[in-house]
Amino acid sequence: MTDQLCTRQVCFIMAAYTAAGKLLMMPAELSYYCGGDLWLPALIVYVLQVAAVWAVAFACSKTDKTFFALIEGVLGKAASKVLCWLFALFFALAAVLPMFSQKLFVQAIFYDTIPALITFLPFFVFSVYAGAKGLKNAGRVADIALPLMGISLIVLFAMSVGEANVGWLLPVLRTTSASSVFSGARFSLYNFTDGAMMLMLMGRFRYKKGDSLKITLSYALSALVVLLFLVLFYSIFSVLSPDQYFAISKMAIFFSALSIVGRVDLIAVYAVEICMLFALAFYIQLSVTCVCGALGKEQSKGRSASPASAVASVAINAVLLAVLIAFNNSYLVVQEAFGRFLWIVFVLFAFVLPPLVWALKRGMGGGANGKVSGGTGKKAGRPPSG
Amino acid sequence: MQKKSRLQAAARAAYILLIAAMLFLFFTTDFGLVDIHKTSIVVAVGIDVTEEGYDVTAQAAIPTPAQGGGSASYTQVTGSGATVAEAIADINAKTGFYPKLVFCNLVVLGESCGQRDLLTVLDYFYRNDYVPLTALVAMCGGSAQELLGQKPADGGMSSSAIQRAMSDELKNSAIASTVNLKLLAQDAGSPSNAAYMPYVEYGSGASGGTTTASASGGSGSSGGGGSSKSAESAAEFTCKRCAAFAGGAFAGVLTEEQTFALNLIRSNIRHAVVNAVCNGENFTVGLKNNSGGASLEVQSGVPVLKLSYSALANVQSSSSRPAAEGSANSHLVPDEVLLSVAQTVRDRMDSLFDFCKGSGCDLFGAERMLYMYYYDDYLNIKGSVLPALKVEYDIKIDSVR
Amino acid sequence: MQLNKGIEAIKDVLVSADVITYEFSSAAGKKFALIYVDGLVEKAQLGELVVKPLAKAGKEAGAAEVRAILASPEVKEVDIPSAIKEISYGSAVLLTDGCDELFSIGLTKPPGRAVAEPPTQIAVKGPREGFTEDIKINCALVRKRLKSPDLRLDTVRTGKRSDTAVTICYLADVCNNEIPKKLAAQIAANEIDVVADSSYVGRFVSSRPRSLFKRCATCEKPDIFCAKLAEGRVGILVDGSPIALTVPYMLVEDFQSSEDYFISSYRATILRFLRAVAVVVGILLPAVYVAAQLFKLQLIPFKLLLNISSSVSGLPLSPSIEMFLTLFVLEVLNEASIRMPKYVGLAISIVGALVLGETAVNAGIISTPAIIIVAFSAICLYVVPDLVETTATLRWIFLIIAGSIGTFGIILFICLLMCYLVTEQAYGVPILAPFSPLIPHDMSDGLLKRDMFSLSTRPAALKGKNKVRFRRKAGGGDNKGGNDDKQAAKEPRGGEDD
Repeated sequence: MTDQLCTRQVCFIMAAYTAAGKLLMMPAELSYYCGGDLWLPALIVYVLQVAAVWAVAFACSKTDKTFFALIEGVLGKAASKVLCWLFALFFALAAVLPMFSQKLFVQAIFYDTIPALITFLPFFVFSVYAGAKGLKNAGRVADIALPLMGISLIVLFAMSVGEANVGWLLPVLRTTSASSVFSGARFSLYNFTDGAMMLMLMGRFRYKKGDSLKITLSYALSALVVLLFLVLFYSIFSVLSPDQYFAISKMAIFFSALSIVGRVDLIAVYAVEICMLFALAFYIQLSVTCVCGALGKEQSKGRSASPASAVASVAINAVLLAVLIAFNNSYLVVQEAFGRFLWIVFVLFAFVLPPLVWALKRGMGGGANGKVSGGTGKKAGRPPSG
Repeated sequence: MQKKSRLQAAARAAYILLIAAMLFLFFTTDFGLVDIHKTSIVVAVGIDVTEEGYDVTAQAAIPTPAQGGGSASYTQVTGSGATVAEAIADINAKTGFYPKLVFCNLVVLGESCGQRDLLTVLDYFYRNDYVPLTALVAMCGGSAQELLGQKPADGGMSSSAIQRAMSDELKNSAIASTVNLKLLAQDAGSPSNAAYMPYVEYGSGASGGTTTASASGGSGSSGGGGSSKSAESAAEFTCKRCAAFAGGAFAGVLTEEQTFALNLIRSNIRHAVVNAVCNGENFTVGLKNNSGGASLEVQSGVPVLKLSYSALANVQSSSSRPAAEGSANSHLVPDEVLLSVAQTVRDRMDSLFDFCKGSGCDLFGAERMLYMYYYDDYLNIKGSVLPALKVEYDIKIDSVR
Repeated sequence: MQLNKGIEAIKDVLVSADVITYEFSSAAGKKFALIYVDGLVEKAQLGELVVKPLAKAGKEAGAAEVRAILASPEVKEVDIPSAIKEISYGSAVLLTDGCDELFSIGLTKPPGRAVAEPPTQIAVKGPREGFTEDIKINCALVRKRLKSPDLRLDTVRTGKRSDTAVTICYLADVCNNEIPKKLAAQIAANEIDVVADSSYVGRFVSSRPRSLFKRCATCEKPDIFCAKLAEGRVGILVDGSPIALTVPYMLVEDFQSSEDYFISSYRATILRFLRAVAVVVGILLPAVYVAAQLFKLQLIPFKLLLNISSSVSGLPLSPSIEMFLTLFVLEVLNEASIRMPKYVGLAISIVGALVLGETAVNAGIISTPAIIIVAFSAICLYVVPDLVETTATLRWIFLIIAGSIGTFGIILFICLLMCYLVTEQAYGVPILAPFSPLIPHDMSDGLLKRDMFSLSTRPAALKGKNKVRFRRKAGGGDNKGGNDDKQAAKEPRGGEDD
């Protein structure tokens, strides 16, 4: 295994891509369940995810193997292959709801009237291309996407904060029942695949001392931004919040200067959209990576995608396209399916499996691979491949 | 190797297909989208309740060839339906132009809308993602269709003139209120369950110069825009009063004084003007550095509303030119005038409070504040906050120095 | 060797009227012959430095004596095949009766223009010299600026028939030495009849020659060329082309101007941002205008929309076709005005701008805003002339996409471009560096331009040797915030993921 990413890119991925997907539907859904306390279920889930991300990031300090290599070492090649396929399916599944959200978001912010589905289909051209390009590409894109999204969010926050009235969040933790918080958390779980993402990034960058902290802090920072966004969102829309899907495109419209210069806020929204599209494509990239891993094929040859990854990307996108066409007008059905039944899959892959890396590490034995270096967090050496 | 070349051939074929598809779409652009040629840009909407449902009047800016002078022309079309959405669809059917509401900045409710639940009337606008929540909302006496059909003195669109009557300048001087769709829903959906909006009135003003815009009525039940009114009968719009709603139902129209008091409390006022009579003499006092607001405390289980207001005053006009005693500055306000101004403000607030109590319309947001800051007490007296409410005033007006 | 036999051996191969044979004898009766291509040799110098001295040659003078007599500084002994090549390159070949040795005398003076300011890289401040078509002059212009012994000028030849000289220039102690070797190998690997211009070589040395994005930077000025060599790049000079190439190439280079280094860094930063914004606007403006009219009116401010709406009302064409036609007319006018003789070009500009534009608007075929947008877009693109071929093509692509699926298409294509560009590289350097991979060190001279004291180390992305390029000696003034040795000594880090 060669290094595909550097630590900075892992941090950027964990900051930008994880936040981007949570700004569309999640605020409105959480406000539906928890009103002004919408930040609470998000905070709870985030705390668990930060712990999961830290567990994986810290495990990176002890081994330079990928997750699947660890599995192979402990449970054998067959188990590793099975898990590869399962993760490929998981990431394809994780892309379904964001894809539907994206379709609706695109229809809302790029068109004045609801357009035909055909206008969204070119997304799959991009998705096939990006999906085949591999993780190195994702890391490089994150180098641009994070600053782009950061600046855009700052602009949008600055334009919308004047309209916010934090009083709408009151009374804090008085009006929301535990069951509502639980429902909110459960219905937001499908937005949280971050632990699983980190698991995929494991062993794909050269770990240096302190990197686990950097990665965890990057993710925590992105969590903070999302929580801030939730607070700002409810402070602006309050009782209207449950109906305000795609709030990111609506928050800044109250900025008084827009009445003169037009919707310049859309430039920032479109910049965030670019990041969102890459975040969505990242699921497909991860899925393709897993498929290639399961087939034992290289994902890229030099700078070009390998035939295996191209075929995998086409196949995964074809399935997603079929799902999109089949459920084109049934977003709520898909959402209900994810919120009521499939959330358990997300719990398993993004919350349970990441901490299990430690068990795997122990299963491998400290000196079994000869790459563990005491407690300094710095690896003694690095194998040519993992 | 062979597999790779086959893949490359497939990719090349896909590229060619894609380019062909793009070019086809480019030169046809026909998959149900509404371009600028097929659109009417609706700038204002008037809603009237009828026996059959709703009449929705859309005032739309229509393009005229640039060679024709390029002035802003408009058309006004009314559609009918059981719901607002149906009425808007009726407009489309009548004109052939798709009414895009993305630029709709004004929603006027006719007097008849008072018969229906406020949020039911406006439901369409909250459900539609393409209507901006920044659109201003107002109510008018009589029919909204008639109001929008009036020709303002500048000959432009009535909606523009109405929006000018609710401009930020007027809002900042406490003369007019401004409420948009978002604020309205927040007020009406809060525990206070009360909302207000400007009440538009119009009257015939003096001659207002030449009329350059053409106002053509649409087909069907066209609004007043079709008539060619002379400049002499140009309408003047004012929004000095407010319509109040409690529990979604129309609760009445505030007087100008009550509206002034409401604005002092609910809006950020920069400069207000109050006329006070002191010793039989008229003083017009300008108020700046305004700070007004309402807060709530619970004292022994009783909610007490504290209405506060502070400002610095200067004399803008008076029937006696000399300066205040002991000063060479004629802007200084004598103490008795300050007291009189404070009393005037207090009287207006008092009048507003009485209106609220009388109509059960919690325009101060007392119940909302109780909900936010005294949730336990809110649970105890929920629904009967207004009758139990006591009021305290804290009005401080000083003279500029 | 008999003189006649030697002449025959050469003339048998060089059968051409412009190959001149000049036979003469010394005062003592020794026979000589000079063979050269008419017009490529400086005849006066030939007479002065070769013929005149040889007039004193003795009857029995051998090769060594003849060589000693020749006053020309550039003399080398060659065999017949080499002599034929040398004659083609512009040298004169001296044959001596009774001697087997042939001497090539380098008195080449091919016809060419003088050193002048290049038309595409005009600078208000800074040097004005530009490269010419003569590679020797170009090499001299480089050497004039870089007197370092580490400057290497390696010449390779390419083109089966043109046998064009290609000089690879680099500073041996600065650049990555693998690059010149790789360049030479790549140039040698291509067999082509004629290399007409450096752009041919640009394709040879590109890893993706069919790409819309170039992999070599171009420049016409020796000062820029030398600055790039000093940064650690490798330059390529091609005989017959006034345009030099440099590799590795980064996209950001095209947004930099030589003048940026001669003016205040604040102004330079503003100008760089302006260029970047202008290019983005130039590419996207027609597309966004069409997409806004077709799919998202909100992108246009309301009052402007009313004006546009007035202008387009009654037009027979859809917004996309209207823009397509307007852009098409622009491209035609552009092509015509470039290719036509200057005086006709002026007429075409007038006809295009005034007659066509005005009449088309009056006739209600196209609208005024469309013309304004296309004109502004064209001006914006020429802010960065080196990128025009790419940006003008992208403008068409964006227009087609915008007219098909609207703003979403524009955003998607931007994503696609990003995805493509981030992994593209030229000689191991990502072309989007220093933005992707992010190289904070190089951001100081990316779109941002810090003062020269802060640019004490060479760009990290180039991964060259000898990082420090500027060091102030002790007592060199009190430039606060300027270079200090600590900073200079700090090793910049390149993209870590490579």
